[in-house]
Amino acid sequence: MGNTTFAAFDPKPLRLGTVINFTATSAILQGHLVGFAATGIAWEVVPVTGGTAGTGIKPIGVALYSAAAGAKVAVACLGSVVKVLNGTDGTIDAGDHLVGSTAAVGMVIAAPGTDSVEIGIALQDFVGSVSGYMLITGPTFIPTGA
Amino acid sequence: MAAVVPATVFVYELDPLYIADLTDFIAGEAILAGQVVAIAGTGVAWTVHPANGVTTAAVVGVALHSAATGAHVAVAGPGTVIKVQNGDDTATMEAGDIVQADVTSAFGCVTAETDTTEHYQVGILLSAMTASGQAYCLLTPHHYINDGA
Repeated sequence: MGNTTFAAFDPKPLRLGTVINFTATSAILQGHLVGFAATGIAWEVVPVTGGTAGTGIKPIGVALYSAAAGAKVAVACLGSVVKVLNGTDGTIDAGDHLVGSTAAVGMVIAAPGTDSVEIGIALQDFVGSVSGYMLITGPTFIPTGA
Repeated sequence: MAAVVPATVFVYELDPLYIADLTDFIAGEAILAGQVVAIAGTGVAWTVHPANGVTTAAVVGVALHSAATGAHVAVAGPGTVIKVQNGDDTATMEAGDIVQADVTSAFGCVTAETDTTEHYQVGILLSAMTASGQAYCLLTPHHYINDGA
């Protein structure tokens, strides 16, 4: 199971819920899953790596366009239906709860059975390193109590 | 560490940046503008209380105005970007922190989310929150039942 290489893509929103205007702390590509850095900075987001721990980067939404560091970026948040990229070459099933990939920047993987911050639910199967639609329902903290 | 006093702290302008969902509820008890509100654990139709995570259950949003017991109250729900109140007079939080309904006497406030007990998530902070202060929050209400594992 390998990691996907990210290239900017149109997340083709079917519906936009809350859209928030953030500042890009570092360069962001269109379609990246973005969130607050572990040391959060007000109104600033970065491409997500991690999100499988309650104290890691917290995803908040999907970048609607690319942005250089320091530029403004519109982020589709709760209630939006947008495409995200599978962070592995494995399969995500429709209905899977999704989190930020720990290895593939700005991409998603199926939620693990450990502490995680879920960002949404897959609305279709992602077979291999492809994009698919996700309903953004989070972030929601799912601790296992361990 | 002490709980803030709701009647003292809920005196700020809510300044909502975005209201995604607006619902008309009945106040089950006196509610202050800005308080996080929730359905009572015993469940009364269309009735909300300041959230305390103990006698109240599902968080539904933030009250947009104060209301006396039995009065109507407009509540901004999931997807809303609005200020919430820190329930602690010493603890601070930062952007990206996920917050839950405060279970101290600071009803209607938020605290950092815990992974050790059943709790009711309120949302994610979009800016830093000072002790006894307020910060913008994207409301993402959610209930978590700890499995004790």
